[in-house]
Amino acid sequence: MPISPPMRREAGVMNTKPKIFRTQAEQDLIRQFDQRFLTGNEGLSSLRRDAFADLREAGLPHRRVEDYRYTDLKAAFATIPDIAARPDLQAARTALADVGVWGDLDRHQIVFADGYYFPELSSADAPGLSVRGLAAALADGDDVTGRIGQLRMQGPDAALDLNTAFMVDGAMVAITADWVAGKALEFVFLTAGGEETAQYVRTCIVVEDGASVQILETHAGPDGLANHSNVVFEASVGDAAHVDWIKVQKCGDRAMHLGTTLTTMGRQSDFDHFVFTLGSKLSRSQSFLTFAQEGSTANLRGITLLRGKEHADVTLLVDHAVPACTSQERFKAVIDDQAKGVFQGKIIVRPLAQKTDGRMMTQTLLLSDDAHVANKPELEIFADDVQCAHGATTGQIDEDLMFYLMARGIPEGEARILLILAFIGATIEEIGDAAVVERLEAMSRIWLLGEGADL
Amino acid sequence: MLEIKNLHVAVDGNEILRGIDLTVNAGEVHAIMGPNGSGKSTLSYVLSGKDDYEITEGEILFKGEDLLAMAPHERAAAGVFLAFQYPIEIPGVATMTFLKTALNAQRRQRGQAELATPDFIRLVREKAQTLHISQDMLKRPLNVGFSGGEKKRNEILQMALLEPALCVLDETDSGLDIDALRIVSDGVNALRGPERAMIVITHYQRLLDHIVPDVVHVLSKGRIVKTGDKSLALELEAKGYADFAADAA
Repeated sequence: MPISPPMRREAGVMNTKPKIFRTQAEQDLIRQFDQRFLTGNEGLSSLRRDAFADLREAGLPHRRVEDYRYTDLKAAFATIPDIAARPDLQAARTALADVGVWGDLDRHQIVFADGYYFPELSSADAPGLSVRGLAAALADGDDVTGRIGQLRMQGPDAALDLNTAFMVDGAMVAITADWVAGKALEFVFLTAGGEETAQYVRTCIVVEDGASVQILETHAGPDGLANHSNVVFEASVGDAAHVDWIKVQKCGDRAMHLGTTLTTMGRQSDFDHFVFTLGSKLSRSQSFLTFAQEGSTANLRGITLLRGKEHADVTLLVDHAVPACTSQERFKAVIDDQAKGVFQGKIIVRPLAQKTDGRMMTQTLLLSDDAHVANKPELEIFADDVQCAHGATTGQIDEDLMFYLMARGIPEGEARILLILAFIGATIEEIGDAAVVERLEAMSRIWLLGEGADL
Repeated sequence: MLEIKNLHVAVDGNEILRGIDLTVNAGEVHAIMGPNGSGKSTLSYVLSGKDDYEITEGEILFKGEDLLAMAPHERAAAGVFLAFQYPIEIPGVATMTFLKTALNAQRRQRGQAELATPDFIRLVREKAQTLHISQDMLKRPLNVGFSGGEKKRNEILQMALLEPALCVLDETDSGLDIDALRIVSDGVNALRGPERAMIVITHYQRLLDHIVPDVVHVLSKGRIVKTGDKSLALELEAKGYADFAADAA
């Protein structure tokens, strides 16, 4: 009896790829990349092409991709505007004058307008500080690959890949122990042009051993423009270095903001990261931090204020790769109308990372029946001698507290503002710097007064 | 100053107050005594405007105006003050901030200029001193970590600062030791005057040794069953509430 040959499924039979549906935004990205970067041969070209390969293949991340489950970029991005052209100096200067986030706080500024570094508007000539524009370095043929793209995450991330593929300008910054603490270093990201554009900025900061610096990261833009901004920082914090980092995201009401901070921590270093979100139609602030040396501490904190149909995502990853480090994450959100807040916080404690202390807490105040929050804490613990905890609360304004305040003569709207400020104030005050705390509380108050209309 | 006429109040459909009539004139101190569940606290909450109380019948006039039509903050600005039986803790709101916000909110509603910070601080310090309230307490979040006595003293401080026309004290003596009771009572007595009326709600006669009332009412099962002078309180202490409760049934 003849034996029939085993059934074989020829790979060739199936290798006609199914036609993949591309959204308009994905088509925009492919077109923009191929026009500008496909045949480029500057030092970053292979980095760009690698980063774009996944996006080209899989498209923008959507709700079935776990990391973007609650922030579906495929659905959120209808189109992707073209990359901004460099604005003229006068437009950038005007935009800078309009920011007003920090008032007259004493600080050095590194200014980016529409994603381009403006040395003319920056004050980078301080002792212990060196700043080199990324676009200028690339134009000069410098090899920047030893600095850009050095900090890797454990897995791919779409926002980071987008930035790597499309980064236009940025800066390479070094801060030495000669830096005089007491004066902040501000990175300002402005929108100067009146067109809807996209900006991709990549900045590397090396905080050298023993240096101590306060960094302000400010994002501002006009209402009514659907700008996209994608800003990535790669920060390496040296041994015994101390970094306080306060990000204020106050982009316009139609803006799309993706921000990523990659941090690696040296021995016995401190990093305090505070993210204050009160702008953008959609935003995602990511902080990915790795403890690479022992004895260090990171505090990641933040306040998110949302109303209308805004969507804001805070995504954290803290990787305890070595023993004896402490991390604390404390985030609060106040959400009104139909707005949606997302918190994803992951702590990884690797097998070697004994004596780890990791704590995560999120608290949300929902001001309306349609307000929404998604909380996703994740602990992945592979060591046994560790302390880790997480908690999340969600609630509304306590009516008994409201009545007590009103019974003392405080009108309802004012009482509500007082209680909301009390809720977020405790977290803001942990920043410790009185001048910064005062500015953030003032911004919160103004935001809440805007709220007053429908309270 | 205050006229309560045939007041009926229900909570979740259960009638708690069943026809209260009470007139309090300026300069008078009225004590309302009664057992648990007689409706004493309900009366205080209805006067200050808490939600969840349904007025099924009757009216309350305050200085001739319809009190029930006013929101809680409007009642406060008009001069109604409730000293809470259980003062609320509010984390994150410093006591000083709260006091200033309350005083200036009332002044604004009355068309008066807001008090500047230095004037305000001077005023609070002066009032706080007589109530043995420390600067440290004023800096702390409102009532957070305060002892029972501190909370009650803080209520009286607010009363002294806001200078209301009608003070309603809801079981201000509960949770107080003898020393605290004397400090609180002295604070209340200092506020007695011809322009001010007080309603002192209490279980026990002992508070009335310190704050001597002009009129004593016995509340039972949602009605005032007996009214007399201060000797009525002594009679109650001796005989208990049971006899009076029988009258109300």
